[in-house]
Amino acid sequence: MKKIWSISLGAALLLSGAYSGGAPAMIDPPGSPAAPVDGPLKIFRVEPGKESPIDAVQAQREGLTVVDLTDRWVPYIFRDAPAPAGPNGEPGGMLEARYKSVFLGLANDVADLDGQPIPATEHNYLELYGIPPTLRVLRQRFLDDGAAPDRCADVKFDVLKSVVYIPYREGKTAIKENQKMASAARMLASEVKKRHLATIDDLASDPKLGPAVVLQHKFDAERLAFTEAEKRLACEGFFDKKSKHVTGTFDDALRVAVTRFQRKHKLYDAAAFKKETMAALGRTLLENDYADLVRVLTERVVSAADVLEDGSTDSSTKGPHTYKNDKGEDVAVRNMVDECAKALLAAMDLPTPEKALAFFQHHDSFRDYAVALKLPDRPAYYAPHMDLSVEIDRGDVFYDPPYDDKGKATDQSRHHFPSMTMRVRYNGQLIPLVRWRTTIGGWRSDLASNGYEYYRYKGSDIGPRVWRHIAAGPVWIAPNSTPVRTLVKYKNVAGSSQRVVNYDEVGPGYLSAYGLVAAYNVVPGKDGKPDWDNGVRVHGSSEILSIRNPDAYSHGCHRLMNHLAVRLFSFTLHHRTMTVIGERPLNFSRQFLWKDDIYEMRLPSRGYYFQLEPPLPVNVLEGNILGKQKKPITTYMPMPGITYPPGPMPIPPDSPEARAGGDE
Amino acid sequence: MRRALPLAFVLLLSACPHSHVAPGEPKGSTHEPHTTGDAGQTSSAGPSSDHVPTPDPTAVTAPRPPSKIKIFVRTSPTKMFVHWGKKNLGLTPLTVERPRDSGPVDLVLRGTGFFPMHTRAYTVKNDTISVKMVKLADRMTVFGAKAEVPVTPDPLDPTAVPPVPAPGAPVPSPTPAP
Repeated sequence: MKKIWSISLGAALLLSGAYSGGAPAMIDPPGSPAAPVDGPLKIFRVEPGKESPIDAVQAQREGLTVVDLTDRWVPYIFRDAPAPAGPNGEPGGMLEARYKSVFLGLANDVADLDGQPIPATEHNYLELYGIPPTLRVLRQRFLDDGAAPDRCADVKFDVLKSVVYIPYREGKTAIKENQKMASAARMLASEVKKRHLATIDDLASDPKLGPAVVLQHKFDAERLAFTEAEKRLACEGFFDKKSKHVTGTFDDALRVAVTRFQRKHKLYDAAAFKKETMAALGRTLLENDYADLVRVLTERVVSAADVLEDGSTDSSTKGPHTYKNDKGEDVAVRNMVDECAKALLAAMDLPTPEKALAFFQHHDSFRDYAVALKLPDRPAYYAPHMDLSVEIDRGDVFYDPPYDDKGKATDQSRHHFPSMTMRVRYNGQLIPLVRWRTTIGGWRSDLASNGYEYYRYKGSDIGPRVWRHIAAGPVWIAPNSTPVRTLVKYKNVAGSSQRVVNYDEVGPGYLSAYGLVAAYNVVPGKDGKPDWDNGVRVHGSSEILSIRNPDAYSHGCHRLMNHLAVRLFSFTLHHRTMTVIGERPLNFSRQFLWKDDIYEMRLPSRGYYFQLEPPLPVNVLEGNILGKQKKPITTYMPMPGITYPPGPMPIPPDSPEARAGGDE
Repeated sequence: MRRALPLAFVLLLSACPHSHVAPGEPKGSTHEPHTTGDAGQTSSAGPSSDHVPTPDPTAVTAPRPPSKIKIFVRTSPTKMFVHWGKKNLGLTPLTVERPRDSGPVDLVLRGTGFFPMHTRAYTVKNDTISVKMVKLADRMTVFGAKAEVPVTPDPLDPTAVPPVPAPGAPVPSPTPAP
């Protein structure tokens, strides 16, 4: 077993400026642990109940890993890299990763997605989208909640805990359901009276009325929990002060409050009282803060330890995947993420929310704070350059149109969903490191040359591909087929709300169609020919529900949760030989008409690029083709309910960007 | 007057010697950007009082770029109004001065007889916006312009009037005789 590398000499040289770095520009040699971000760190060796200063060199000698807990930490992929030296060996300066400053502003709750300062009372809550809060932000949460333990004292947490899920009922549905349950309650009360019983519970054993009793209790419990959930969201200040919430209704004000709560605590639920949301509402404020802290520390230690395995390849029935080690023994693929997180929490003595509160009361600044600890040894298959490969299984695939001739939606239920697996080849075995849910393309809206929208099948390519380039803060160039309505949004500009080009969608940024990071699936060019790029990417995404929903599709790309994509590509860059290209100039502009205004989209850069040499192999499996149609339909399909101009339907353009066109 | 930045943000900036995160305008700020006509360009380059990075002795030394950048706005034809939010910055050609890395600047260019043009300038370095304004009559030459679906007049409705073509739409040629 190899031990986890602590801070490397290469990284130290890099920081000291001694790295002379002739081309190609490297952040640091492949396989070395993540170099800390700019500036010196104050490192403390941590053991339960003890914290003592230690310098980086000593930490390295002792085989400790330095975990950067500063407010200026960014994932490896967003760090600046030294530029190649000049012709006479003079330092080339730095290849500045432009998105880093925006990332830091967002993570510290001090700036918005354009890098503009936000009021001190505002919060970004972007962990759900791949930008975890800094410890400074978490400290404030702990101190606020710790200082006012009575803030939510009137909330009955036991009532919230007793309900797993509150079905979404609003408008006519809610009225109907209330009337139905009121009628059932009257009927049960009448039976109780008629039979001279004490309560409706006495009817539970009645074969005819028993189910109605159970239903009544469930309904009552949900109504009680709904009230407590409203109180809980109000006491934590999630309601917009300007919004008017009508108590007892799931209106827009409540929807916004629920969404804020979910974003704060990284809950991948729709805006409703679903399972995970209810579980979090049932926890105390400090318990939720603690869960937030554990996730944030996990990202930091995963970055420092430079590991990837998170247990996602485990089989639900057979447990972890096994492989043969050097001695020929069967060993399980470990969950390195979990092991490292537990080791960090143990070393920092943070087993409970109360201990975490005490930690934050003791530490008032995280400007330079880092900890050094002994982490579990990494498996023997870790190496500076790992034989990594990726497989994307498209799962169940339908090529049939989503509507029949009468405009009725057809059933295209999938049971086997798309997944992405990264493996390492070791001693002749392919060992899976992670397997995550992803997306494939499907029927999507497409803008035709006549200005009308049609459905078009935007598939995901199959067969062998490679990743040659990975980009941090990638920019998506919206193809002409992108519906124009999606390219405009409202924004506050110098104190005034106005329509602007929807650059959020274009990037760079966490809301970008390509998410925070992307890898480009290409067929490598042969005999001096360039790579063939069909516009399909594997990328992070803020469209989290599209990755989890059974009936959601992309435009051909394979989407990943932003935080997982950041982990994956940081790991990949660290374990493959690569060069840093830096910001790739683009100087793109395009004009389009929306309503009665023209919008000019200007894109100065494609993103911060890395080049893998050799490129990393990717294979996309065809999956299970279901339905009658066995090949993708290449023509447009009219959308139900739209009146189209007379004449033949336009012919879809056949360029790669129009076929896949990236992703929305 | 420039509004003071939150202390935390200033601290953050001072801790990031490489990330030239110059402060922008707080939301709703009334700060006017420094604008000049092309003929009267002035430079107020110099150390920004907002951004005093802590020198990092370990950093790779590279020349620090100036703290302000210029945005050159040019249009064809000239003399278009340049709006930034509610503010009218002046007529083109125009030069706007902004702190470096203070975030994008969303501008609207307006002129009588032309479509309003929304564009964006960046503050990473000096930026030049060169725009050819589009006349209202040239609507159908712009990407995204949609030809109206002809509405068949109701033969039983004596008040029905033929649809008015969109501005700039090509005039339909007379139907040839059979």
